[in-house]
Amino acid sequence: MLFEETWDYSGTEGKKVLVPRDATFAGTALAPVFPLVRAKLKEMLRPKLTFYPRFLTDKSIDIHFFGGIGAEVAGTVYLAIGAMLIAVPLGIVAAIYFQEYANDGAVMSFLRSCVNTLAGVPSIVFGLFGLAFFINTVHVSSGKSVLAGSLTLALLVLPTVIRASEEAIAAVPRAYKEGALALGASQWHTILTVILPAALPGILTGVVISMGRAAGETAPIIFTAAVSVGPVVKLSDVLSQPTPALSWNLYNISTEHEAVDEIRHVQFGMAATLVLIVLALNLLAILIRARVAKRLKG
Amino acid sequence: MLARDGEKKPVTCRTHVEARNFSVFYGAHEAVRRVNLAIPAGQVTAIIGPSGCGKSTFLRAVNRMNDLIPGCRTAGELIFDGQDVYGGSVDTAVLRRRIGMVFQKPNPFPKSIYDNVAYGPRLHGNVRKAELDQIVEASLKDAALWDEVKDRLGRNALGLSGGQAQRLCLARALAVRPEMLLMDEPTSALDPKATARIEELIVQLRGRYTIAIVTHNMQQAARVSDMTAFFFEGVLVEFDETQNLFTRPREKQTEDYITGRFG
Repeated sequence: MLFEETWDYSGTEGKKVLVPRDATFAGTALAPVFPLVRAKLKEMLRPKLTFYPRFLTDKSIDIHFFGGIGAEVAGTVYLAIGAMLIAVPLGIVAAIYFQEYANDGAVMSFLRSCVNTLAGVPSIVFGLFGLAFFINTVHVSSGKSVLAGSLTLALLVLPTVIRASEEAIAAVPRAYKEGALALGASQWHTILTVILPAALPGILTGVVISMGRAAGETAPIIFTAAVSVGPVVKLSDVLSQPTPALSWNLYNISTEHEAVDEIRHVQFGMAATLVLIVLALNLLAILIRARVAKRLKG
Repeated sequence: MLARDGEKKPVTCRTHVEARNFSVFYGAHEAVRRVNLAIPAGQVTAIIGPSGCGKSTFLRAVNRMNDLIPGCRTAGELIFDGQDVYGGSVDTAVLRRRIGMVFQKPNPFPKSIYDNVAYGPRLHGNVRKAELDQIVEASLKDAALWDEVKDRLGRNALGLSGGQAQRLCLARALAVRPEMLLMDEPTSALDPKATARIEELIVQLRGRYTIAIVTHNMQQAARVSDMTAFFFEGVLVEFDETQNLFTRPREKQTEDYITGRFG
């Protein structure tokens, strides 16, 4: 904007020459603009605090200077909910098995250390595993898709869900279980009608925290679900279509986009949205926990 | 003391539970040793003895609650209504429906008062709402709790006082319409007033149910029971009519215990 780009071919090689525009426009009505812009350029490009709700739903376009982050928000919601739909039933069943049915044999302690190890695996490894297993081996989709990303994220949060559920189940007073069994309830019926309802708030806390984690994770979806730009994925397409998502696209438009410096407002907006989503989920978890504490006091 | 010597049934009535050389082991430790004991139907049998004497273990063996403890096994026979409780064909769920239990600490479920009492009947097939209401009311009346909670059946049972919660647990056990009630120190967590109410209830329920009550309170055993068994270190030392056991104990150990020389 401040310089005009021209090429000087007087030598053997072409040389780029930047001609200041204020010289070109000297004497015209526009002349005072250029020193002003030069002095305040940084400030002008710095985003101002404003709230524009449609930013969250407007479609996102490649240049990102205009438009919103609708596709990214939708993608993050799909991926987080999808991951939970897979990880929660699996995690609760595993926790019930560990707590109520498993004996303390060698196989069980091996399985337990597997779960703990899974919790310590770097997330990029999950991403590569998801690509290698879900996409290239099992072919859940022909390429990146919301489904493949959700499956990968589900694996990532599974240990957290299992541990939270196990702790919640273990915290249910033994007396409840004895009371139900003494009335002639079967073990499975006791679990369904007494233990799970009593453990539910604790399980939910773990689920909500895991959901925040799934929403924020970047590495697992790079190879399995995320694309830098795309339309809002329709619900009917989640099994086959990839999607932009807040976490990965925030990285993308902050580092690899052609106009990194010019789209600060979108970067800030996207970061704020992601932080707020995760914060809201964690607040929800705290609220659930507070309610349980109150209820247990009687 | 409840004066009811005149109304006592003869000792020759039907035996409801009979232990024959019955032992319970926790791993290698023999917690109950070769006990022979006949609990008469329709009467209140108290089981007393110092802590760790195996009295609770014996009681919990009757409805097989000890099955929950890893490494617990039994030897000998324990006959309930003509059938060995530890026989191969016994369905523990059916057994526990016929033998209700009230625990040391009141353990209402974190559900509404109504749902607590209805839990047992709902287990056993589809009961119509009207019928369920009736069972809940009758059970709460039997447990002398109806008047206190009839206006708040939908409230969470965790809001009840200790004594109310224990009577709710009793109502919950009665709602299944068992033949026998096992009570494992049912008043040890309650204040004297709540204890007295539970004791009144035991006396009222006598005759309709066979009741076995474990207690470390000898006055309680004397007040509510027809028969008393004294356990010491896993061995049944003496079993007799309550009055005889407390006034003319045959064994030296029993006498030492009831006169407070140990335990």
